[in-house]
Amino acid sequence: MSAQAGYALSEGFQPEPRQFGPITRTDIVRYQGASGDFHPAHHDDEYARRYGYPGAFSLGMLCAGYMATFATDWLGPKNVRRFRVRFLDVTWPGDVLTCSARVVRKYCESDEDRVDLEIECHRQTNALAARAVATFRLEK
Amino acid sequence: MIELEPGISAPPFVFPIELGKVKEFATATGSSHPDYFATDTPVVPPTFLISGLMFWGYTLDYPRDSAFARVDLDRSMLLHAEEEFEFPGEPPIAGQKLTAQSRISEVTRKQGRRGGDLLFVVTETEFRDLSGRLVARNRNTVVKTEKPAGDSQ
Repeated sequence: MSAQAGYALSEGFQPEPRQFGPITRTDIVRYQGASGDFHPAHHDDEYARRYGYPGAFSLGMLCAGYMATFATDWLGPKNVRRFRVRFLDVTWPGDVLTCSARVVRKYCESDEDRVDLEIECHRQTNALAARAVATFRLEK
Repeated sequence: MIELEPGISAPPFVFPIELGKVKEFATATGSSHPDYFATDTPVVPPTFLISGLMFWGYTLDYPRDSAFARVDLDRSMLLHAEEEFEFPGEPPIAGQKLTAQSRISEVTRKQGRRGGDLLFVVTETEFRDLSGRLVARNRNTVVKTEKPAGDSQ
C-alpha cells in the first residue's frame, strides 16, 4: 500500500514497487485452475520441450494478474476502468517478478476523476516481462 | 475448414460470476484485498473475465464446437501478445449473470524480427448484464510464430 492515494496523487508519482514470487509450479497450477487455461506448456515439461522450450514456462496472464493486483491493491478493485497488457518476455518457474508503476496522467472523464498508469513487470534478470497501461477512478 | 478472417463469431454464452471463482482468482493473482475477501459480492479482478471465456465461452485456443474450431489455424503454440479489459463503470460483481459474445476482429501478418512470418489475431468479446448494458469489453491478441521464441535462447 502506498501512502499517496486518491486525490493526493499527482502525475509522475511512483508507488513503492512490489515483488511477487519466486513463482512456484504450484502458483502456476493454481492460476491455471482459477483461470481455466490448462495449456500443457505451463506444467508439462515434455510438451514444452517438443516446441523448443527448455521446459514448462509460466503464463503471461499470471504476470498480468500480478500487475493488476499491484494496481488494484493500491487504488481499489472497484475503481479500475481499463487494463491493457502487452507481453514482452517469457517468465519461468523460480522467477521473482517486480511490479512498478507511474502515474502518467490525471484528468476528469465520465464525471470521474481518473488517473492513467504505466505499469511494468521485470524479471530478476532485469528483463522486462510485460508492460501495461491502466486507468483508475480516484476515490474522493 | 473456413478461412481465418475478421467477422467470424462464436455463439453468445451466459457467464455466471461465481463468488468462489472470484476469490480463487484473486488468491491466485496474489491479492488479499478486503474488497475481494470481506464481502459476498466482490467485484471481479481486472483480468478475471478471461476465466469466463475459458469455462463458459469460446476462444481460439479452446473453441469447443464454435465456428472458431473450424478456422484454418494451427493451435499447438499460439502465444499471447496482448490482452485488454475495459469497464465502462465499476467491474461486474459475484452473483451477476452476464451474456457475452466473441468475434474475430483483426487478422494481420507481419515480418518477424528474427525472420519468419508472424500472424496476429485479435478477438473481441463484449460482456453485458441481463438488461443488455455493456459492463466489460475484452480484446485478446494472439500471435503465431513459425519458430517458437524459445529457439533463440
